[in-house]
Amino acid sequence: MKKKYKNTLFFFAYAGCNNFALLPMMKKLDINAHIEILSLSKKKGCNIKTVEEMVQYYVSEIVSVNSEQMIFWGHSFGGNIAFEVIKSMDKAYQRKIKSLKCFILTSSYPPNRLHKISHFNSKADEMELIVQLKAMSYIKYGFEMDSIKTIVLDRFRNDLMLLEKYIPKFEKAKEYDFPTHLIYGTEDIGIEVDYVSEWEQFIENLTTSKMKGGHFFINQSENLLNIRNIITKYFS
Amino acid sequence: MEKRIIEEKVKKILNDITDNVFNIQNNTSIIFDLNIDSVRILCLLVNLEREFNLSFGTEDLTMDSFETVESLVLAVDQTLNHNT
Repeated sequence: MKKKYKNTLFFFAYAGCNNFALLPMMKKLDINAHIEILSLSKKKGCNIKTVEEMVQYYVSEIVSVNSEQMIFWGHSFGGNIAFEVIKSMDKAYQRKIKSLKCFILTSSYPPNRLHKISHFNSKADEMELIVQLKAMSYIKYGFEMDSIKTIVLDRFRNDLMLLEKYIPKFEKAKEYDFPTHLIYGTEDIGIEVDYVSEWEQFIENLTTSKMKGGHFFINQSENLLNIRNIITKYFS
Repeated sequence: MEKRIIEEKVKKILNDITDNVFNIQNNTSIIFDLNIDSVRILCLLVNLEREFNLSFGTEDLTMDSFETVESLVLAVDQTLNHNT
């Protein structure tokens, strides 16, 4: 019999994310909920070639978890995938989507702006990718170690390949039953101010806020605490 | 492999990646006491895989595996048994 959870947080991993690298952050989040990390690191996700397949795979993972309440949290590209998952589930799994209490989007470009990250190229050489990832504070050190370089860059290239083939559909804003929190870092070099209003073309009733830090502001303890407060408010 | 040997090897790896700063005990919290961040946890995994000739899948290790040194030793032990 499937284990039943009261609360489940689904974290949609950013491009290049290794599940294990997320463990310290998730431990420090310290919430009273089951946590599922959605990424292609799992063995079953290895053969996925398109974002559409990725969405369907994530939907199948989500519906297989028996939970009374859910929160979706997507970071960067993970936020866009989470948004596609919501649209997909809204059509096919309306009952399940009703248990979604809140949607948290951190450092995510609006769907119409995803081409902006095309300055990343899956075929770029190692050094070029490392320079750009460092500029985004993806990881501040570690690239000097061959093993870390391989782990991170392989995953990142694979996700970039999916992204390069992805053409987001423009759909008008929809008022969902759950609130959406859109959060950006104050020093994120890729985020422009009007991105908030552009997200409003896709989801209505957004609560927007900024937290100190760059694209990966979620790694900072004080920001993690603020996100924790949002999560616990909806899981109470 | 004996659990005692696994424990010694795990502690040595943890000592190496934390520059021998901590007095590592079985109940030491890996994330909180040793202050392991996202890069160091990847180093830890790579070193564990090399030392024990393993390949960890995300299904083999969970957040609970990183609770303490003892739980990590248990996870390595189980993965070794599972692979043999």
